Amino acid sequence: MACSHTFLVTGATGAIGRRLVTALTDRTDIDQIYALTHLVPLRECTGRAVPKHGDVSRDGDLGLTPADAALLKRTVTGIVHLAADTRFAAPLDELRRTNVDGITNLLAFARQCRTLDRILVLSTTHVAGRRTGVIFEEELEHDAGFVNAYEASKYEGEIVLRSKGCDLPVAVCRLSTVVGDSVTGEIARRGAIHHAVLALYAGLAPMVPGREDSPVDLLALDEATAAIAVLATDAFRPAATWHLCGGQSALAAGDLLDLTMAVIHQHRPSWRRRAIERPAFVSLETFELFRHSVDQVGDPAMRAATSIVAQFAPQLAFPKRFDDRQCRTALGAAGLRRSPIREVWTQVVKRLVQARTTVDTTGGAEDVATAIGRE
Amino acid sequence: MAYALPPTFIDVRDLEARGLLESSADAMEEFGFRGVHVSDRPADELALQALQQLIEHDSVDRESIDLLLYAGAIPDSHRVAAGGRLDEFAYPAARLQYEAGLSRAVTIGVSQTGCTGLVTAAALAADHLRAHSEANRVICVSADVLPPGARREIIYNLVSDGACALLVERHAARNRILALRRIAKGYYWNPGGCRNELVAAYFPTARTLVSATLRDLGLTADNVALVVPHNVSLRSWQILLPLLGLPLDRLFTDNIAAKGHVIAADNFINLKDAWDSGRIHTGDRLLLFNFGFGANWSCLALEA
Repeated sequence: MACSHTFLVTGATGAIGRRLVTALTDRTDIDQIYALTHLVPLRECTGRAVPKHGDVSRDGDLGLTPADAALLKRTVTGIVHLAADTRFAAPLDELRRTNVDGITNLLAFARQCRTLDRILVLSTTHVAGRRTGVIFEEELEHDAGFVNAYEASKYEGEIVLRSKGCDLPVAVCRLSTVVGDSVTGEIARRGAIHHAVLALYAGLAPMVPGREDSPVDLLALDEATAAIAVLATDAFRPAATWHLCGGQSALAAGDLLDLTMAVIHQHRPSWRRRAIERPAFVSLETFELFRHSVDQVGDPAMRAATSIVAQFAPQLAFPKRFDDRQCRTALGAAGLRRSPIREVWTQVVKRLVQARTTVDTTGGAEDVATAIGRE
Repeated sequence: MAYALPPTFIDVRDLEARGLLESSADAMEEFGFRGVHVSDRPADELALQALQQLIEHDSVDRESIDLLLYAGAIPDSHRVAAGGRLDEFAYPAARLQYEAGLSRAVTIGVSQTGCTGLVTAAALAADHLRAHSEANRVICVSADVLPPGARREIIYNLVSDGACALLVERHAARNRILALRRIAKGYYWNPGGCRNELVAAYFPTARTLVSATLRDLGLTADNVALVVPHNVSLRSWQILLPLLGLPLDRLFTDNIAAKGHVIAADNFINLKDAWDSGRIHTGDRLLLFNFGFGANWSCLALEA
């Protein structure tokens, strides 16, 4: 950016939001960052990052106080919209409040910002839903359906953006699955894929819907955050849509499963004695029959474990690869580092299983499943 | 082969009304069960009935039997209620040998292999014949009767009382043993404490075992003419068969609803009934898959 800017970051307390606020604070070309918080306070704010309480689902002032809304409308030059309801299993109507109505409110707010020159909206590559094959960045609309309501709500949000936001300088960054820190494996917040690893570890994941060769696109948290900071600043281009993902480096689901089991074996040698079989890849129909049976007669722990797998793994039945050429081009000049995803995943799984010491001492798969259900 | 099922049949609605189910009757019906056979006679009497039927129906020369193997899944099945002070040592195997007049046979009990008891006995019989060139014929019997008033649903399956007897002989005319593989996973030794894990382990372990059995024989799923099941729920077979690459029409399902899961006897009851109903033809490759507590998975491949 040629001049100094003032950013509003929504969803600032999320897994990416916290790191992004820090990353933006480190830049010398940004004067001020307003960090929109909703349910969780942001404690690690420094001088140039100011928390503002709000709620994107509430109204066109994003739930800010009148004074704060007026301040931000007067000063903000850029918005990074991260606020999202990422509960895969939540009802669509609930998800729409944040993921669709929140977009409508964001656009209404943006139109009142006098000096705004950029809005970067974070979305997900899985707006592609049940599509298969290569998914290109400029594509959106389809009628293939979705694996879960979260995907559907984010798709609807992008539709709103395209239909109602074309008069604004909006770009979209679709993230694939963010798993953890590339070096330490630290997980900012466990998602479905982390819970699925725990279900596997607990011996409660007998089957996975999908195909061995389905690409699983993963991304390191720190590298994703660094890239978003660049896309929001130096590389920003209105009307662009970027796939921030592994792209060609996505692992096949079977390879990812083998790697996961190998890492567990290495870091939890006692796990080998349990002789847990590699989960079988099965058709969606077979998996749904298993899940239905567990729902009919299984206990809460088993239901929780099966539900976790069911929330995202059916994507593996719709193999797809995300083309990310435009994103790589946009990021090219920044010289950002991308770690081999096998190394990232190794660190993440190691971190996950090393945190389960209590499970090993009590021997309880139920503990893990109960914990999964609780989280 | 011969088998004995008690005449008393209790349907799932009645089981539910008597408090003998964990799940609902609706769920059990959806899982493919209609009810169970319940015995008011002890296991050893059902075993004797099956054994005598085998001897009479197949005109077995009693003096030709070298070994009698008796299998039971639960401890009560290994005791005869003789009413004496040494009941713990009143073994059914010895009683069967005496009552059936198998005077030349030595006897052994097979226990702690759960519902795989009769398959295990058949495997031991084959091993015995391989190890003893002078031996030619072994009879294997299994019998189990749950205690009076016991719940009839065990991990989503309805369990019947019953017994089965089979003859294992050298140079048999049919049902030639091609391969037998077993997997034991002691981690699951306590089924009450790891029930969910056991359910989860069941499917992928079954797939591993069946694949290995077929691989040993140089066969694929396409070569399997019929899967002769243990009578766990039809639902579980609907889930398992796709993992094995087998269509549902290659599963003998006639007995699951009407006979229930007759503990260790299922596979061979079904083998007999499949033969009798014309589902099996000479030369067919058959798979008898089974799982039993004690965390035993077994897969027996036969040539009909």
